[in-house]
Amino acid sequence: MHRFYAAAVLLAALLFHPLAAAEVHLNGFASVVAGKVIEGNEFLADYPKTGIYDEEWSLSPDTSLGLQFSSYFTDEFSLIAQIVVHGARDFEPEVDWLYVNYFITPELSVQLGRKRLPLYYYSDYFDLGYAYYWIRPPADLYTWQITNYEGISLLYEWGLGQWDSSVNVYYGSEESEDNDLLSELTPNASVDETWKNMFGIVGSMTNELLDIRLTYMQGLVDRDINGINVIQDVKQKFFGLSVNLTLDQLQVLTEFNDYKRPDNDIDIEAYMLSFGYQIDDFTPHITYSAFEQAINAIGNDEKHHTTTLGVRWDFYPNMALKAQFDKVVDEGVMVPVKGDSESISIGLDLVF
Amino acid sequence: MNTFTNTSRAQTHKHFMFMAVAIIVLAILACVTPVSAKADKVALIAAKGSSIEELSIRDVRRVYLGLKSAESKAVNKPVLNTHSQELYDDFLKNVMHMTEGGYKRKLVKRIFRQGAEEIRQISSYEELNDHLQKNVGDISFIEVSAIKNMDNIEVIQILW
Repeated sequence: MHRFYAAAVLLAALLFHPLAAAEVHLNGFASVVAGKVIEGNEFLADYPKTGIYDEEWSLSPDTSLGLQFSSYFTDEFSLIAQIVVHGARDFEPEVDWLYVNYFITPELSVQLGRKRLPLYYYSDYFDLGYAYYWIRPPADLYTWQITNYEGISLLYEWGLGQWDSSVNVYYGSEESEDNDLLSELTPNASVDETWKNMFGIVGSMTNELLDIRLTYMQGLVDRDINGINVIQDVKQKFFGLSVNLTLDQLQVLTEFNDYKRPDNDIDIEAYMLSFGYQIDDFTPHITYSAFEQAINAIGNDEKHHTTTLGVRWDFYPNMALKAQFDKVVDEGVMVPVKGDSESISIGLDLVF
Repeated sequence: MNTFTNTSRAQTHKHFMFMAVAIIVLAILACVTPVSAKADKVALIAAKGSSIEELSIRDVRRVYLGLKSAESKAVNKPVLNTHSQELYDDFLKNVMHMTEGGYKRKLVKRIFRQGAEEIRQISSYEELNDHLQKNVGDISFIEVSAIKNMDNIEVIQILW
């Protein structure tokens, strides 16, 4: 919450500052989603925010609202802030983005502040449902407990023939007290997690047909459970590859991620393959995603996969209706997450 | 009877010939009309005095993706001319190389990821003309034949 108040004070100062008054832009997005489990007990739809469906209809797990303020002091210098509320977090306001951006050249910019941690393909707009055809990105892949970082990043964007290319290099850290996901998965415990000395690089190339993205991050992890330090300065590495194909109405989306924490004998692979086909305003889609961590030295494993069927209907400019069915098979022996389940959800996404 | 048959055959032949000619003419018109419509060139425009010189198509695409021009500091903001859906579709196809849905999603991602500004859409020539006059350095695109409806506008280049 302290970040929210800090952002609010900063924003108010900027909005009333004569330099910024002429160039403040407001954009927003909202997702209103209702869902329930129709087979099984619970469905962990959103890992980082622990959005969980059960046998009763619920709006909380996936419903979100976001407001973004962009303040342009000059052509080169701007401040971006994004405040979000999530049903899964009792609609408490949070600051997802709060950074200053400076264009060193038209192609090279530097950002300083708080940003989303760009590990996965959809990390930057995970909550922006309008940007993809699912109700939510495949849960098996997006099992991260830390979603943001505070630090510095450099972004270089340039054209290469028919390709749009970018390279983003970042460095920073993030502390999460009573982390939602880790505390949920550790009964009767409050887990504090810190990711520090994170250094990452993301490269992407996009043309009319292909969208290729490579990402790598390394850093150190600290973890306290009920105030007792259990992990200190443990190395972690993340590698990700996405290759997406757009062929007229057909979209083929793929993502593969590998996360390693060698000192804790953790090696996780997560992947997905998805097909969507646009027929006028409708995009039916099918997706298979999986998360696999073999039994390690201390006997922990985690293994689950999900089959998703759904349809997106762009029924009005800037608005989309979605319906989705998810079937989860939880094969974890020592660490089952929420067990097998089948669930349905319907949602409305909009941007304004 | 025989005469009637011959007359009838002659008339049938005449009708057939007429239909054949009509079909050929219609076919030619069908081919010619779209070509002549599509032959109307489309220009990148700005207000007179903008000092914008010819840009590469790559740079025009870049600007319409919400990025800064890498080739000219005189380029300010892009404006989408939505006066005609066909023109807008052709622009997306010839310059942006993407569908309307794909373009929209890409812009939305950029807005919420990097705080880029929303790209303004204008559907009337009068409003477009007025906007470009008031915002020197902003660019848009228009059919060459429609430029006569605009005042104090300069053509930066022909896009296609």
